[in-house]
Amino acid sequence: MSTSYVVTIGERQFKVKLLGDDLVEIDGQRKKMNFIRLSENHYTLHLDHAVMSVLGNPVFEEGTTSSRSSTVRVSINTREFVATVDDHRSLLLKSLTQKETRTSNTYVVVSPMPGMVVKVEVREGDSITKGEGLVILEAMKMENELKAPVNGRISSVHVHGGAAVEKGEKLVTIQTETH
Amino acid sequence: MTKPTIQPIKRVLVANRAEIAVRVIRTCRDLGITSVAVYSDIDRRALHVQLADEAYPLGGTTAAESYLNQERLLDIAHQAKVDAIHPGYGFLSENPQFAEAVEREGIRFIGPPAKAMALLGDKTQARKIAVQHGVPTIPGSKEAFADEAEGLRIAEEIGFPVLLKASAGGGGKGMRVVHRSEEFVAAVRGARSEAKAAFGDDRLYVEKYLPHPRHIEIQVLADQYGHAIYLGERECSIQRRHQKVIEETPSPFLTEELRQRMGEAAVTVVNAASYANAGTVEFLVDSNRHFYFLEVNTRLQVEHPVTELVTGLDLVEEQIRIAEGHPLQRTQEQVRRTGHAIECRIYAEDPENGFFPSTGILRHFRPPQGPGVRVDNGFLPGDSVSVYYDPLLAKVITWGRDREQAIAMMRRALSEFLVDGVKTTIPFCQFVLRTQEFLSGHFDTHFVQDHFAQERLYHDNEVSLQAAAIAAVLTLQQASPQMTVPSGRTSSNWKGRRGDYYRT
Repeated sequence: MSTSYVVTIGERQFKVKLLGDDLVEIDGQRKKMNFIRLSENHYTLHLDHAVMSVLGNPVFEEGTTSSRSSTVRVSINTREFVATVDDHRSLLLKSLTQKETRTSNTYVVVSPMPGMVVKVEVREGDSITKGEGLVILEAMKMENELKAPVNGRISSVHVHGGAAVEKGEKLVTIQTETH
Repeated sequence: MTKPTIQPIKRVLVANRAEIAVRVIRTCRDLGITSVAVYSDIDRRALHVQLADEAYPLGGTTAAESYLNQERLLDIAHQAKVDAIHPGYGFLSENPQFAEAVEREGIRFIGPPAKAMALLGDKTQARKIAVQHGVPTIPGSKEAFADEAEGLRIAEEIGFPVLLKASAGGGGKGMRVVHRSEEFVAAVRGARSEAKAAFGDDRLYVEKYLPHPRHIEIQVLADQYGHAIYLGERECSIQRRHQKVIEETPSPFLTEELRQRMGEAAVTVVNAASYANAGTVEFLVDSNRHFYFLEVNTRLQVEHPVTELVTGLDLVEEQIRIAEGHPLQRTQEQVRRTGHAIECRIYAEDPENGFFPSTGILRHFRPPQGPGVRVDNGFLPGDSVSVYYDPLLAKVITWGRDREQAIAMMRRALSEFLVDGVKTTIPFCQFVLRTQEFLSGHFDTHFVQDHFAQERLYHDNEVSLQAAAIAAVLTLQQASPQMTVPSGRTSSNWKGRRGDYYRT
């Protein structure tokens, strides 16, 4: 039975071990803890008696099953982090699948809100670098430029100028460079 | 002078939504005036509707179908037998045709007379009035120049650096800063093609470019009998997308002497237009403390509360009194300003992603409270933030005996503001409030481009990162106890129905 987890936040990794109701070990350091649920996704966390406000929203990805790694959007005192939690099984699974299929990664850029596509600034096959403009979207009477989240190549463009899009609709797919 | 005739206002239609509608309704209640709210289809449950005495549906969803529907608003005004309409800000507040239509129906418009609004609302006309009355304006001309040679002649007259602007323009398109005469012709060509593409009109004009200006505005009050006073300034230099986010008064930059000169200039402009009611005269102030008239906002401003907190006046009450026909109750000498006030605008926008508007349902929404804190808010938990209207959720305003205390209170207040469901400008405001340039008062309208970068938005310490890692594990356990939780713990330590786990 595992009570150990590896939590990834950005470039950092933490080893978290639950040692009981009120004790946790993080990267070898033991801390007293108290985790109190206030409402559906609002908690207060006491860590060695330091009080923090926590919002925790699990991100359920389509098709993922329970024993894979899970992603959580977690805010500590209004600062939001995206954390990926792995237990030993999901780590094992990952190490197996990564060896075989992980040669490159696909990023799908979706519309953050309903709106209208003013302009698509890239074409299929284009190489792009992180921060370059992809699509100009008009919403709330403002033009907003969506930028590339990663370096890569445009593998497909799903929309055209003038198209109305819903929140979450696919705009552009980026294939990251293989290493 | 005309003898004042007072016609009391008993019922007011508030032709707006969200925080400003709530704010106007509150003063109506303070004054014993019946408030009448209006709402679009998606605003039925909105706070402003709940707080009003009476409410009428506008129908529709988009602004054009609802809060901009003049005919429907006038129908409701008759049906509800109101004496007056308060337009708030935005929507129809600066539409002289609407103000005129309201007046024609024998209903009072709580704002300036339509004529004065039309005159000062037109930037070219307003600038002419300023020039005629000796109020400094940004050197240049709003008239388009014919060709590059004429443009260059004007630019040399004004002195470089100059700013090229599109006559049809806005939003920075067709705009170019030109530092030297050698660059002028190329810049004109670039700006023309950009203006042509954006507006189908390639006319350009030249004005003096102020490298690091501050945006400082003066609040004025004018009655119907030709008396006007100024209530001091608001410093509004902290902007993103050319829109204000943090305002304060007094400005850390103004001297008492400059405050007085700008105040008098503001009063001169509104008097020259036979203006009545509350208004704001905007100026740019350069690093040599020269000020230049920019424009007049012929309505209540979003940031009016900072002025209220230092003067002790209720500007909505003042607006209503003026509309009733009361002369101003104070002379310029009787205006007192105490302490320091700051406002942070909490927009549903993502500061990590170019201030992109953020929509969603407010799963949590708990504005701050406590000493020195005022919150003007229009939302409740469970409300949805849609694409249809302005993304301003709430304004947090603090008042302290001095700037340091007001800033400390604002930091505390923002740390208490709990929002879940949309991204907000709270982290951005927190970033500003710990930035040295802001704290020392040495900032201008370029603050965001000079100092803000996504990676500076947060400064994370090890404790909050560790807490996030631990909270992520614990949150997952609670959300799906059968999943990643080691067996033996789910049943014994976490009790209750799914979605309602609590610790024993």
